[in-house]
Amino acid sequence: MQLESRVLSTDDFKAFSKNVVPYLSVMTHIEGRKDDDLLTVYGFRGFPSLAFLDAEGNKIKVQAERSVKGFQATADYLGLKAKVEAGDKSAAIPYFFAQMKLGDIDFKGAQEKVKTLKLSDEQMAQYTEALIPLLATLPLDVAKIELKGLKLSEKQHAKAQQVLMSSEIMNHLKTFRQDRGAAAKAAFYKMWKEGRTPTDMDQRPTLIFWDLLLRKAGEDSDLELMEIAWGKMRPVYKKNPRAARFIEQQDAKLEQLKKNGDDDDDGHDDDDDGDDDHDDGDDDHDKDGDKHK
Amino acid sequence: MKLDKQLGLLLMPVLLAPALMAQRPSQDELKERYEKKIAEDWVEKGGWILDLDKAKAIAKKEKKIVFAYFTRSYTP
Repeated sequence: MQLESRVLSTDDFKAFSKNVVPYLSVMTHIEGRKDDDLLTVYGFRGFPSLAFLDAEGNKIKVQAERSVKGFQATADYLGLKAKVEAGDKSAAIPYFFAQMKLGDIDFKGAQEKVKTLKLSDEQMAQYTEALIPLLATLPLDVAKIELKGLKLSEKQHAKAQQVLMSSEIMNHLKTFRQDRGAAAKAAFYKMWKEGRTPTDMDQRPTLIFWDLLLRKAGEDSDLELMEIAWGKMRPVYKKNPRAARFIEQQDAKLEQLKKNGDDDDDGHDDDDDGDDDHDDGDDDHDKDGDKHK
Repeated sequence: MKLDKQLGLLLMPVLLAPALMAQRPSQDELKERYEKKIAEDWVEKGGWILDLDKAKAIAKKEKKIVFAYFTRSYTP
């Protein structure tokens, strides 16, 4: 399991584990074994799952991010929360920032809470920066209005636009099951034509955006879009050892589109033939290779 | 949905049951898989506690929180 080999085996995790009590729950299906079904008792549905528990065994926080850095951020947050609950006023501001960082407070909640805290100018700047990702907790139309009320630098404004774009992308996916992504593809194509494209390839909405445009480029035999979308997505697929066949297919598809484009440049009116050739290339890569010889 | 398709779906668990039963590992195999799992290097290196009551007692004594990892050994 990747989590075990890449995260839980590291020296960083060993260092982290000294400040908590690491408990390993293994579901075995061995009859009569104590605590064998704790996964379901704690409300989880799949493996692997991670959570922080208090000394009574109560689940206090589900751990979503699967990295030691993420584990530590949650542990720090829980430590600050405990201090605040114990009446330690000095922990209130760091706890507020930790809440914002972990997304444990929404945009409106943060705006209300900040009124109760006395922040320095530097902390106010930090608050504004931390508020930007929370725009995603608002409905898109409300977020656009709220954005107008924020005093942001040019860089922060660009970051906020990317947050709104991620929300917009996710909104377009609401009909995905009904139309197999047709409306989303059309909407993303329009965004691309307007020059509005997401840039952070670590964000899921960005990956979905480019991946659907890649599919659309293939369906429409759109060389320009295919080159751009595949340029974005190829390095992503390259990280997945199981995607080798898909990469091969997409590379071949792109080459075929380029070839069709070259043929068009020769002045032949062969639109229909071009599409047929493209489909053949998908189904039979060897045959396609023969054509090039 | 056509009747034959409905019947097919209804009968599927019955038809597949013997095959599924045959694939289910024995209790000895499950115990072996568990022992193999907890003998993996990362378990010892991370100092994992395998008993929840013990983990809770340590957390109480040392004023710490428990970091719980849920996994399985019944499938290889």
